[in-house]
Amino acid sequence: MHLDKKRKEIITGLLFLGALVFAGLDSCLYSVRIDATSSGMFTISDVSRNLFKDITDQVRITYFFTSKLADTNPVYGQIEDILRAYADSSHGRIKLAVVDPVKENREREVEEYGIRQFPVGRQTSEEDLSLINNASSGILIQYLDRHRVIPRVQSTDTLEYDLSSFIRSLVSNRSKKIGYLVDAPEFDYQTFSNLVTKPLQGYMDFTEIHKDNDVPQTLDALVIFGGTGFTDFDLYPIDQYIMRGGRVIFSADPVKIINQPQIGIFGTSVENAPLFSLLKTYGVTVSPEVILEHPDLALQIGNGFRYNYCFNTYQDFVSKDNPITSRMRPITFFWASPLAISPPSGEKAETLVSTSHLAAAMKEMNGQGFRLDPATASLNYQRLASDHKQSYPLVAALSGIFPSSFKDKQIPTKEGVKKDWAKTEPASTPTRLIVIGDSEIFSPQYVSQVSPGNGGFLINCLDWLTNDEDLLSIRNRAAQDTLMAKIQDPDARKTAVTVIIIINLVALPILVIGIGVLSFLLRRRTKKSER
Amino acid sequence: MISRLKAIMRKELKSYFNSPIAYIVTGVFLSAMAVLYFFFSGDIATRFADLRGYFSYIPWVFILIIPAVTMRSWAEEQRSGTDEVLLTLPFREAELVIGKFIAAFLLLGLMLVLTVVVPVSLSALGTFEFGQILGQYLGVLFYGGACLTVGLFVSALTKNQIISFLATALILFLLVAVNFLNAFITFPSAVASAVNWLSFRYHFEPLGKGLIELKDLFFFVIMGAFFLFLNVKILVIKKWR
Repeated sequence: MHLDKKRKEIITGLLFLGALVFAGLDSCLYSVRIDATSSGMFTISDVSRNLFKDITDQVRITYFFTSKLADTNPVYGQIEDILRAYADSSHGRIKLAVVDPVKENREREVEEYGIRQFPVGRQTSEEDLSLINNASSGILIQYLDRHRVIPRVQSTDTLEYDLSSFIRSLVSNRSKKIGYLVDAPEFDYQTFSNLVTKPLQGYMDFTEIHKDNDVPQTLDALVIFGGTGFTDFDLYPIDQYIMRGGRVIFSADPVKIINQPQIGIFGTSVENAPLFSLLKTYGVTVSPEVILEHPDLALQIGNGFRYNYCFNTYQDFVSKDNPITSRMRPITFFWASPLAISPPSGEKAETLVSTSHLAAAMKEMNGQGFRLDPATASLNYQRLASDHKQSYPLVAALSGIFPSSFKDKQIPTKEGVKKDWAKTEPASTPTRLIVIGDSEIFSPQYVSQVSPGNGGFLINCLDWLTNDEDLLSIRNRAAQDTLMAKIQDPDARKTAVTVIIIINLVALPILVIGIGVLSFLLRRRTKKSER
Repeated sequence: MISRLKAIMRKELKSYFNSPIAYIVTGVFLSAMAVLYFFFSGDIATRFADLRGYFSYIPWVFILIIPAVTMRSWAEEQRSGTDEVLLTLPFREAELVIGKFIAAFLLLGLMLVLTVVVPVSLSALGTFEFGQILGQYLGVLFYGGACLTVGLFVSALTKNQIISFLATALILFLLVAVNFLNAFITFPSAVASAVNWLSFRYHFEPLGKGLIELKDLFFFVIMGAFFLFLNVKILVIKKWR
């Protein structure tokens, strides 16, 4: 009987253990993941997940990260979280390694891959600040013998987009070919290269196109910075590039800005430039006016001056339906001109960005140009806005079939230059254009100083033009909003933190232990009285 | 069965709260967590409004807190000889084990409820995400539950409370830190995965940041069931003796 009981215990025990092992294996195979954060911090989008299907060999992601940086900003932890989410969701197709280059003696590798090293101040105590020299936070993505580098990551805003687009270009082994044509005398090529072309190398390869040369049809997209100095002869290859399916961003306005210390900021009208006739054929008229935005949106310059001619535009004034703008950070406009959009049949047009409803537009007075000095900006705004204020379109996205500006016209010629152009295509194949009424919006000297969002806007536009709309649906992750920094005043903050520490470290434990002592005394009293 | 469980649970809870142990352990737990979070995690202003930093200390703090909760459970019964009385009463061994576990779990729950003061007081400085915090507490409950079962099992092996405390702390430390082996030794990937799978901290890490993975919850349930099962078997063997 006793033996039977023992045997029964052993059998049920073994069965129970077997069931546990089975349940353990089963849970590993069929696990469900729930991201409890409302922002989906640990979840990557379906677009990124779909990328994994195309990966045949393992993608290796190395996050070169100086671990001391974690004390300076919690965003670095979130960067690692997103990278882990990639590795976790990829079913082994993506392998992640987090490497401290100093601790693991891999500083040379960091340098070789062009991962930027930077100094960071670290608060070691309330008074002391130590400096971390040569800190790194860069990502290396490797696939087969190819690699892409994100030289410096300091925010999670566009990280998923950057990673997914780089992984896609690595796996497909094809980068987009983007041409850019500059008609702006002060264009800062070095800054443009540092800000745009170098970081995107491998995903988008930029080539400068000179106006005397043809526009190669092999380009995936063309960006034109300015263009008011272009003649019909210069514009013809651009028009024909579009007619053969080419995709173009026009960033131009009919007010030429002259910014000189002696005469201040002055604008002259160039509304008769052939470029604007070309754009009119495509359905967009750029008015020879300068926008003045409400002071709340205007850029602050100098001693609190609001310069109404340069302004930011936020989510409220952009198209929420178009992927270019639905995930956009604030962008800054500089002496922008309003657009009038009237698409011909066969074409679809959409206003992507507008001013607020409180904006005003300044016209040229009697052919004497525009006075755009900071001192008069506010007065000019008040004067014009009291007369008429409205929302003005600033960026238009056009798609469909476009008529040629040179249809039924002679092919333009230039003295001394012989071109072997084929016959004029009168209408385009289905294609896409973007027109921005601001020639300075991507101007490197402004973008680098005041508006980091403009660079992202350019990339979004290029992605839309080159059809990567699915990538554009990856939303931005605005993590900075959740910092524990509600109280900004340092004194009030210090007091609040002290009170919080006292509550949690002293008051609460003492209260618990006090209750214990009290209940002990009460019990002792009860026992005594019982005796 | 429920009424028998209730009776054991009530007896256990009484023994926790009639001795200073529950109050002292809770007070020490709250203080230790506050010290670690407020003084060892950098400036609050540079942190996000979440309790990730706070919960990251849980596995380490539990190494000392859980043994303090469970060390008495069986060891004290054995020292005072009440275990023999218990085993002769009309209770099944499993009911005794589960009853003690539920009582310890309720004490742990109470300790965790008191930590809610941390996000409530910190909400003056930032906006916390309710869902994330809820997920994190859920994770801590599963994790703590599994740790308690380890403590109860060890307590059933000895009649000395100090040995019970130290042995539980050691086992918990090993279970928490076992995956650090992977940082020092390059195992074949299957072994490395097995080492990770065994680690309590490895499974707690996602839960501690608000990422609920069913496999991690299952891991703690399985571990808990395993140690409770061993605990029951210890009692059965004692009964046979």
